[in-house]
Amino acid sequence: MDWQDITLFGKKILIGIGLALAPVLILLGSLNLAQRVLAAKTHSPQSSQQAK
Amino acid sequence: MKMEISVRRKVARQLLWSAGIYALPVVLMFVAFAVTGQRPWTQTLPLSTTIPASHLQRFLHDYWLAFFVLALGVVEFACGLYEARWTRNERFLDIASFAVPYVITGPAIAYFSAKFLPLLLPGLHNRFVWVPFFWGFLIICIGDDLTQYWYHRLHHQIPWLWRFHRTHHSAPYMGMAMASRQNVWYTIFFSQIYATAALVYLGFGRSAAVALVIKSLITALAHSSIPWDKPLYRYPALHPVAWVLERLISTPATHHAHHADTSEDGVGYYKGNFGNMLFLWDVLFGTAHISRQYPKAYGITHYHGDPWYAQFMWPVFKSNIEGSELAAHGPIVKEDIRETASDLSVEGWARTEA
Repeated sequence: MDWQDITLFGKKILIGIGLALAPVLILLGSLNLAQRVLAAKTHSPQSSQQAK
Repeated sequence: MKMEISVRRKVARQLLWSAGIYALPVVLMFVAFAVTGQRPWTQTLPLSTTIPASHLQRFLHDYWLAFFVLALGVVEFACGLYEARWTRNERFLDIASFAVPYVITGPAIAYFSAKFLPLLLPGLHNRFVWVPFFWGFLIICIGDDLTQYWYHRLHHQIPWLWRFHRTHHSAPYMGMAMASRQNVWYTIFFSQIYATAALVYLGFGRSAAVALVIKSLITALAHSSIPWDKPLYRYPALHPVAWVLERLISTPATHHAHHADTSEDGVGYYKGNFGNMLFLWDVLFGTAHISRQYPKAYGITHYHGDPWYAQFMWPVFKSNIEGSELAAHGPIVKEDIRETASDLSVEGWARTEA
């Protein structure tokens, strides 16, 4: 193993991390966002009725 | 050696599309909730699963898939499907590649995921356990398999990554053992393992268990030398089934084409067919080649039997075969013997870019 191999490993790990993180962040973000939107939609008619 | 600009642009564009594909099942699920009025996250769900009681039952429960794959290998060997090409060197490599992930890397990744995921994603353990099984299954199938598609494709299209994947293509035969035959660093840094481990931590455990078993079966059977898909092509009544299946999942015909030693005969296509469980990615991204025929020869034309430990551990151990891509001062990508200069213009294919 020389310095070039270590650089190669580093680059490979970075690509691997990027490929692993992207789907997790996209799914985490979209699940959270969609849940909040639907939850807010569910609560808003009730709160407007309570206000009356 | 760098990727061609046109390939780089195409890959970047398709990676952006993939971001939308990852989110698609979530969007569809919430549209369904909006239409039906379901709010499953408001309910408390039991987390327990049924685990067999006795040690033997637990052992079989955990390792039945390994036994199935081993049994498949024994059948292949007994039928003489490896012929005389399974030399001592290839045998050592295939067995090491099969055993090490089960014995060392798998448990190590599971252990470190259990240790580090609570630190990386604090407070999110089982956060999405309420996701119904069907939607969870879809999320895992897409999340895991699309990630593996890109991991695999980039190892072919980025020249400096090719040598980490070369071991999977070097064998001049196909068989169950090919599914796990990999350079150990390729296996350790498999992106989809970590993505799926994170999704399991988030609460997709049950869906992941089922999806990964189905994926392992499809992948093992696509690499196997048992051509289970041939009857689908032979009988006209089954052609519609074949048409759907060969576009949806990896079949022996499409995946064997990926392992062919040439892309010039209209059957083999090592420049595409990157899908593992789902072939749909190749169809969507234009990397598919469906021929319904089996290649005449497999492997790499310039392969001269690099030592198994070099193939398994490169770059820690180097090959002693002069001129090999795995040798100390070998080329990053060696030109295929049978491919001609015209092939050098084919966009982004690592094996022909010397």
